[in-house]
Amino acid sequence: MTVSIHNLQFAYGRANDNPILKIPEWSVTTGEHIFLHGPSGSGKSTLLNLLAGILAATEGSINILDQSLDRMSGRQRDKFRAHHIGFVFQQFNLIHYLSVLDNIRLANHFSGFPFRKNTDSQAKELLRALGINAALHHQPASSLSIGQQQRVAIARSLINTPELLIVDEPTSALDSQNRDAFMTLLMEIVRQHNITLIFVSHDQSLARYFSRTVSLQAINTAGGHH
Amino acid sequence: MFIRLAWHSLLSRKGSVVLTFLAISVSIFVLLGIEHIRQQAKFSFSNTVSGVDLIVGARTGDINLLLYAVFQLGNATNNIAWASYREVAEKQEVAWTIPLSLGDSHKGYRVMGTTSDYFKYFRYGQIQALRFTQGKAFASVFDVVLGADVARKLNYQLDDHLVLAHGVASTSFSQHDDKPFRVVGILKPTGTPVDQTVHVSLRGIEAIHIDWQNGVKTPGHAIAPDDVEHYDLTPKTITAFMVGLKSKMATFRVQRAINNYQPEPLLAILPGVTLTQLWQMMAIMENTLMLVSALVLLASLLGLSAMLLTSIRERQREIAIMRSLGASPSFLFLLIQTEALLITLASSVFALSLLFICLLSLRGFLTDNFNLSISANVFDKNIMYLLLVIVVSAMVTSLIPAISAYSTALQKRLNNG
Repeated sequence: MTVSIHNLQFAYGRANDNPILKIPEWSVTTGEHIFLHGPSGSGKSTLLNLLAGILAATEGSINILDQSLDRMSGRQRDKFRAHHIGFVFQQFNLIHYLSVLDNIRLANHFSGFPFRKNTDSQAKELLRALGINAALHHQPASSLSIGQQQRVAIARSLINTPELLIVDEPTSALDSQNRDAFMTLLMEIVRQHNITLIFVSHDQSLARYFSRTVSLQAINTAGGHH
Repeated sequence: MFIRLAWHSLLSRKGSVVLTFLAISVSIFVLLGIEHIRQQAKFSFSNTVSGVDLIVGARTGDINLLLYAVFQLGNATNNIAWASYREVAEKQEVAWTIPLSLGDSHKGYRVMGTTSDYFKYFRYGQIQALRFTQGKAFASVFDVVLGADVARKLNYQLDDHLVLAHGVASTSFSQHDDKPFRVVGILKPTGTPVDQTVHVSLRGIEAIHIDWQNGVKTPGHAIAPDDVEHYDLTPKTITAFMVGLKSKMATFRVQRAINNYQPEPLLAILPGVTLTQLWQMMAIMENTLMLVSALVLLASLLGLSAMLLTSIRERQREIAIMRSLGASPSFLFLLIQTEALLITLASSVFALSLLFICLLSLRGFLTDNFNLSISANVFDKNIMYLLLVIVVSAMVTSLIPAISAYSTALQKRLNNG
């Protein structure tokens, strides 16, 4: 089991004050490709941040790769995330002044394997597979187009060969042609590396790429909108 | 990776980083400059005279005797009899003496009457002897040896003639114009009051006053320069004298003997001790200078801290990205500290180089206008200690931004970006 949630509750601010998420049970098996959808403000990003250990649950437990996140300290969660989880953010979150390669090297640096010798060749191979021209490798991230930044963000999330890849609405800025090309590429890569994927979007037309579609509203029993 | 990240991060904020760099550079420059000049002033001050065991004059305050005998500041309270001087000079423990006769001047520079032993035994700095740029010590009655500054400022060459004035006022109406002196030697610069002194023989001093009484020429009794040799030119009084002893062990014994000298009240001082006392009197000025420069540094270190804090506010998203990639608290803490260190080190190197260049190019100006002989070598131990203190202080003031780098929540910044 890659993800296992039990009696999860999360609220911003005071602990029990109107939780945004309340998920009694939910799990994702290894190798599954989950399409998680829901309206804006339904708590999709919050759930992803909880799964990545960026946020800590108010109550209940989250197990990722059979390890309990709620028993870890903030630092331990950071380390765990660097080792096991790849995260592609809505805004890609590249460090704008670093080069394409340095952005990827940085993720590797934090993973605790900074001295792995083949990191650069692996990064270049990933970038090549994602269609990033070698001429761009030393360009600062800020000089890339949105589409290129998105691919670099994926390369960065894959550099440490994560078991779980979390992708948060990466297609919202793309037209339909680029969106389809991106989705095809992403699915090819996760299949190739046998990565469990949790993909969040409110664009239901993307559901066809995934093995399972989950509506957040169906698993979240918390009442109000946020 | 770490240094590269810090370096690129700084480059990405060039504007504010350059301003902070300049602010810190200027403060370090001021602080190091003041400290260097202070040290050099103290060094050159305490090395005005060396190798002299005792200075003897008429009874007065220790500092007053030192001021008029060595620094040629102020006036002697009284003269001492030549017989008293000879009695001390002939003591068994005494190796050499340098008699000094003051009271005349030349265009504002003090004239010192002495013997050729002055050039033989007087020492300054690290026991350095006086050396001549041109010429030699005086031999005849009307020979004069000029200090380096006197020759340079008044543009005197060897064999030039000059006239001494009675009294030490910069403009004197009583000139010894009937007995001009000839320049026979010009001393090398020493960075001490010697550079501003006109040296003549005791016999010369006696000769120009031979037809004077009570500070004015005796009317109708003018004696031509060529005739003075026929008179006894042994002085009746001198202003003070310097003493070198055969053994340092005898210093206090001889000092006590001179202080208890019965025929007239004398005072013997240890120049090193009195120089230290005099410097301590200036401690308040020294401390004020240090306080001002420390405040300048404090202001710019707070500026560094403020710049880093502001940059952290600008970079919350970047910091959150690093955290989401697994950056440890210590990594972010060290990243901010490294940025502060890079700015401070770059500022230190820049300020030190600037100070070196400024001192090198302003050395002549400082000597001409302030009589400050400042070495351009700023790379000494004290300056390095001070730089270390500056770097450590910068690290301490950067603690606040460094701690705040990790302490803020990251989730909002990633999603609101």
